[in-house]
Amino acid sequence: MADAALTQMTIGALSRLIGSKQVSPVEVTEAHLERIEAANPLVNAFVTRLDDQALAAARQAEGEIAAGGYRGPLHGVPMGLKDLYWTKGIRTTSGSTVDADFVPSEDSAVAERLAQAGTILMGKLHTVEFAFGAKEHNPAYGDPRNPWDLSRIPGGSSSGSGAAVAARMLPMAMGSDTAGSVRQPACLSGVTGLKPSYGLVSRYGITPISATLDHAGPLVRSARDAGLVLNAITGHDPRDPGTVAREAEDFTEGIGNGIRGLRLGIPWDYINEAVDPQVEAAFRAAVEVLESLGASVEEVSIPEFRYSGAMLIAIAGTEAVDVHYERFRDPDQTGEFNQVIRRRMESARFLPAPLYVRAQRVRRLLGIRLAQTFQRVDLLALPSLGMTALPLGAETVNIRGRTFTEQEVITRTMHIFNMNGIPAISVPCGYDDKGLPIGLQLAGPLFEDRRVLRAANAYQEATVWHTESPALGDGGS
Amino acid sequence: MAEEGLSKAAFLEMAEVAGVETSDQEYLDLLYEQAKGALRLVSILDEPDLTGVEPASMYSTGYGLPGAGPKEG
Repeated sequence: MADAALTQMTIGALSRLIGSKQVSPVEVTEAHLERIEAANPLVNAFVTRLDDQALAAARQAEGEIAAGGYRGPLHGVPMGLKDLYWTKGIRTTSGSTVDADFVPSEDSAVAERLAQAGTILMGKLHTVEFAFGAKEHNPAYGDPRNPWDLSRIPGGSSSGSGAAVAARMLPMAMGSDTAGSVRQPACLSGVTGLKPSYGLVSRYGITPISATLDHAGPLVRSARDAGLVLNAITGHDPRDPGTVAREAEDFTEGIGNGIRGLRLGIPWDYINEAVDPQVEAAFRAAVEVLESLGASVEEVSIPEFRYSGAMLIAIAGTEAVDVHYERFRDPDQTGEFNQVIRRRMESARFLPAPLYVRAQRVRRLLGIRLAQTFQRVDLLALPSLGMTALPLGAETVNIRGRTFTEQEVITRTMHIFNMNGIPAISVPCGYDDKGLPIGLQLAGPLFEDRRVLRAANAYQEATVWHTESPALGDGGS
Repeated sequence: MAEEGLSKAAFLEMAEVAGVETSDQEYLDLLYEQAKGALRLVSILDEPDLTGVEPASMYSTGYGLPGAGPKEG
């Protein structure tokens, strides 16, 4: 019997044990495989399990460490990749039957870097088909479930990533975020999810949706862990023209320095349009914690947020149609798509081309407003979402007596930060009366990822939400 | 800029030109409704005054420089 306590740990805690040879990567991997065996039948986070390969990699890591070749904090740490990340020789479905037999001949840049860091790839994780949605039913690979309530969605599109980390099957998983698809499952599944600045992490080998909105980011148990993962995956990559050449940063440097004097801006006008009262209460309590740690708070207004949903349709829709251009012309392939997702993408074919350009101009307008706002405040704070996890199959949500479509609200507080590539994190900050997680979101100026992580870490050092796990029939923690 | 209404005839013509696979009538009907909905939602992009605002196809540094863009308010 493996030590189940190992599955409750952060990357930081695991790495201290592994690095000091108190625990071997094989023990860590075996503990997580046992947890996957028990929890995955309930949660359905994995599309492809790689048990044998993982154990082989763990033995190799064990040998390397024993021989004095410890690579750093991710060495020997189990992880999973959203099934949008190409993995050499391992099927990569992108959640679609269209790619059911796609076996990449090379790794994605992130998979490559995580392998170099010595992580143990445990498997490929569920995604909404081609990551073009938040919760769509997936008849081909089944629906992942929220570990806090198995009748509800875990969020998406990085659905398996959120569910796997929440259910303690993995201490880290990679997701992708075009409109909130890292932060939203992180919020709904009660884990920490970071969308780093655009340009920091190569998207090479991640099946794209939208070249100008896609970000790769980790789902983990703490802001400090997110920094450790960032340290391993950032850097210029000529294969991704979106990446920038910047001096290497240690994203955990100064993370424990606190937030005294930090100025937080809260866009209440935007938040108040769609926020559940319980979410609002948890968010206000989280802001009070941040104030008690020395941050100051002021209200800000960013009227251009209201255009973000329309920009998303015009930009992500148009760019997604381009990605799948040939497929949409092939009747054999169009029939393989989830027809809801196909329709959502193809509807962008009927948007006039000048509208795409206009959306890009509004995008700059929002960027200008954000830059001006960040001259007055250091970070923006919002509820990660105005709601908690929906039941599987739900199409609408009622907030303060008003009915919204799921599409209207499920990422409205998130895609606002994709438009200009600024870093944003979601961390757990409480529960509603059904025991469903609520998230606090913090966003900062471009390339101020360390500031975002420092504030999130300060919040997590003062609270316990991120340390809690769902019961799943075994008591949780 | 966004079209107020999209007639079914115009939709079908555009679908043909764009290479949309048109053999499934039920799908086309649903796509028509979705396309009209998308056009309705994006029409809000007609609202802001974009005088002097260049497109930002990706992030770019510099737009936060003092004096850039609209006045705060």
